[in-house]
Amino acid sequence: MSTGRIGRLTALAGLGLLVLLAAFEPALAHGIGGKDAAFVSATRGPDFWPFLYLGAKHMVTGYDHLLFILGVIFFLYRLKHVALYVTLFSIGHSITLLAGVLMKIEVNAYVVDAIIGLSVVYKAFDNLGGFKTLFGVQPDARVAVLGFGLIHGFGLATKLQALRLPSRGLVENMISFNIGVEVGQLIALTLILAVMVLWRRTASFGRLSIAANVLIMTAGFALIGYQLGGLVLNGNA
Amino acid sequence: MADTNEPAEGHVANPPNRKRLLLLTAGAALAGALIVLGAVLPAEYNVDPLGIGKATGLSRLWAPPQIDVAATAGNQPLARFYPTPFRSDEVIIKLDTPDNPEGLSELEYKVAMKKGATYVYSWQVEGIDIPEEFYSDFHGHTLPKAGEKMVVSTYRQATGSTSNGTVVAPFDGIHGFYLQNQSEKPVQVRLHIAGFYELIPPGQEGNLARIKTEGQIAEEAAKPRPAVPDVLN
Repeated sequence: MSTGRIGRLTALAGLGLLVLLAAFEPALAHGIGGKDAAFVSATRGPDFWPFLYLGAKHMVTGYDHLLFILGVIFFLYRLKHVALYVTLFSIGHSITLLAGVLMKIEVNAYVVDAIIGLSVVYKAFDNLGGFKTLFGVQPDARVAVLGFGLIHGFGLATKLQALRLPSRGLVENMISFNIGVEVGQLIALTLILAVMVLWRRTASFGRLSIAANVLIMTAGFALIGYQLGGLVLNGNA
Repeated sequence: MADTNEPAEGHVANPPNRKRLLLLTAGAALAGALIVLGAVLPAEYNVDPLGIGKATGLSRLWAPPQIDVAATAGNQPLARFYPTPFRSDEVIIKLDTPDNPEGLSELEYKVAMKKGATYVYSWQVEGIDIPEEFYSDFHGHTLPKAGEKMVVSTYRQATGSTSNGTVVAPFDGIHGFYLQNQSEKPVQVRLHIAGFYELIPPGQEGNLARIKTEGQIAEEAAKPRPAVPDVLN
């Protein structure tokens, strides 16, 4: 089997898994629940490693964040650019994660998660050159990634706030969680990037990159519908 | 822009034209909407606009959001469990008129309970014309030994010819009713009681009037009568 074929298969499998997770497994409610929630409510004082783990777990299993990152790096070929955009995204979501929890900003989780779905649609549409083709302008991708990073951070903040974090050790635990988010993002990014690099070497990348972005957009639309459905049908989160 | 040997960064190398872009975007939106309407709404929220949830069984994934409520009233648990076996009794208590010196127009009927035990009761006065002419005092107290104080708790004092309710014993003791007929006619009180308690033997504190339950009466009636000594012969 040639490297190209292996790369192509890996790439398709990885992408397929992401799209499947996003589109057909909405039952994997993307919050922090069960024993993790019980653990957080029971903490007294700073607890670095567990919160770091929770942050990383939230990111690695967070298909909405992952889809956005996939969209962002889809057509980034230089590692320098990958690092720049991911840093912008991290700055954005760290600001609102910390501010949201510290200033007790209450945002509706369904609304935030619907906008996160919109960010996925936006990035996939942008990847198709949609803004240039349709409106003749190319919005600054750096501003968009930073802006949507702020929204993703509110999403992270609502998940932490929903747990009613004990006030003792709040700042330390929140920062641990934030570091965990970055660690998890780095792990996910490495895997996505590895798959993308392999895929780009194959001829199928050129043929299928439009289709892939249409799929990502579809998943984004499904995420929006899923969250707006929750907003309308389940009331306030 | 990018180097000649490197594809353009940030978007696809060969962007689709306007028409195709709109078509692809609309297709993605439509597919997303179908996924939401066909799968997500039925499975997550039990809303099934296309009937796909029912046809595929996806709707069965749905479970109503659960709100957990502590089963306590104050610091007391609302669900309780007892080693005492459950029992239920029907008791008919006859009360004479107050002006008949031979009869009994007032009495107490109680049962013995452990602290925290509970029973449910219902009684009606039969043969009374004016409900206000019947008085009852629902209460409980301990059975103190010499030198001890008696602990008393009053649950309800009222006139009226019927009462339904429940009590959780605040202490070990006897818990029940003082019943008083103030009318000009003899009456009977039909009491149904069920829960975790023990009957007080006739003649003891709490049942000095020697009231027997319908069950006890039936049991005695079923016993073979002792043979009558044949003194006449």
